[in-house]
Amino acid sequence: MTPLTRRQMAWRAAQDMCDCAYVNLGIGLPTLVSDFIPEGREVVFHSENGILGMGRAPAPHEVDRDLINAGKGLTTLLPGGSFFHHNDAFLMIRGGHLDVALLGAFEVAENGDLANWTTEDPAFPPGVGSAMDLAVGAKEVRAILEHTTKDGRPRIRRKCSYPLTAAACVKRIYTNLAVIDVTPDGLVVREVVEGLDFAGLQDRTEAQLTLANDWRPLAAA
Amino acid sequence: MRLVVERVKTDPATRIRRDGLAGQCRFRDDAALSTKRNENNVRDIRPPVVRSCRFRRRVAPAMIDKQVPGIRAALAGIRNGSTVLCGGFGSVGAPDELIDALLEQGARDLVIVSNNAGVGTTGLAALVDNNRVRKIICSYPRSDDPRAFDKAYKEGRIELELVPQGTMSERMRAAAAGLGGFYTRVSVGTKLAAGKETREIDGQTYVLEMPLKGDVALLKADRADRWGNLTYRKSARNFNPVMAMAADLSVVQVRTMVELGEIDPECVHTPGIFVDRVVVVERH
Repeated sequence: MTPLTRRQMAWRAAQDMCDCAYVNLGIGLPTLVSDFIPEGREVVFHSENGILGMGRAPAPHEVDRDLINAGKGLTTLLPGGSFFHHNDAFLMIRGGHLDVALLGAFEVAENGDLANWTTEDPAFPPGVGSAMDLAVGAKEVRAILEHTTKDGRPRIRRKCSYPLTAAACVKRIYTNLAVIDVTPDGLVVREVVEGLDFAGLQDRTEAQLTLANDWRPLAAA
Repeated sequence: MRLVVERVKTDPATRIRRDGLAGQCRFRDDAALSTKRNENNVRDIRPPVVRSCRFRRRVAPAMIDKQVPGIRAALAGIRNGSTVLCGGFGSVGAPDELIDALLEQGARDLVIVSNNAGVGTTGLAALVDNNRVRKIICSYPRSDDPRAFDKAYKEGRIELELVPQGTMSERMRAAAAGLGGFYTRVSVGTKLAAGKETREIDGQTYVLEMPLKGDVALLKADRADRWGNLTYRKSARNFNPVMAMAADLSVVQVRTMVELGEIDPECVHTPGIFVDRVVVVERH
């Protein structure tokens, strides 16, 4: 069994971005997704700091220090892009104007509860950023995360052990082992990485999984 | 006798009145205050006698000019304990030179409202490191290089109020717009909504968030004219427009001043009504 790399996970999540979608990518792993949008698909990336139509990282001659993304990395603007102030950026988020928010996560629960803002480690002061706004505001929230922690603890759980970002908001989960939908009937596995059977996936997951009839191997470029 | 300028109503730096009343000032007799003793020969600490008078000549200049000569004048009158709104997202759009000058000005016990809690060792980070900040209201304290905040937080020298980012900007908008607060679905059912009033609207639970007003806003823009109209560059706009609207005194550092009319009126990002003082800081 070969789990997907982070870039392969980003590639997989990118394949589900529909043409013409307005999309917010959370900081960290989700940011990589913009590199893998299939050729010919027009997806408009939104950034919480007041950008629509965000492009790729700049080439050296394109660098502008006033143009950064949500993770404070340098970025570019595509033709047709626009700048606006914070209230408009969050009006777009909260008011349901974004089609998809793809967020990193510490944990996701079987009902779609999301925990991604604090581990309550006293050594690290918490930061919430735009996580709560995106989790309740986007038309569809998807989460992307490693299937287990480094020491093998499941991150897809019956109930989140960390404080919630928002309740029952996640609709689809991308991990390095599987693609899983959150449905009214629980978690349904759509794709599993090659070399891992369903029982093996369930062993690495605390929440109860169901295998979709039309499940397929999780392929990644 | 000493001229006591009422806070905000007349800006001592630009001498522009904010309340639209021409020529009324207040005087206080400091000499009388200092000699008055009570029966135990202790200085009388009753409030000073304040009387109003009306100037014969104009106090406000005939011309609106919000540009102040230097960064020190731009920060005149900022008091200990002020709530200071600081523009910027990370270091982009952050008024670092104004904040450096605030450190020099000496105000302490400050409440800072800023998306992040300072980067590296300059600007807001220096203010935090020098124990000038009692409390920070922000969405994401640990951004690029948060060493100053981390240290102050671990040592218990700073209080943190964590607010979801959109809620933070909307709370300032509410203050700016004269609203008593607003209901939002953001943070419902989480620790950040603990103790807050909730309400069912159309079958959904919302949490009540209160307005967030600043005594002062320190901001950064690209261009200004003498009326205080502003434009920003790219993603450096971020929180600056809402903070300009939400503070009693808005101070802006700009890259350059332009003539009235040079900013296309269709493209003014912050109208001058929200701006009190403008200072040119060329090192942007």
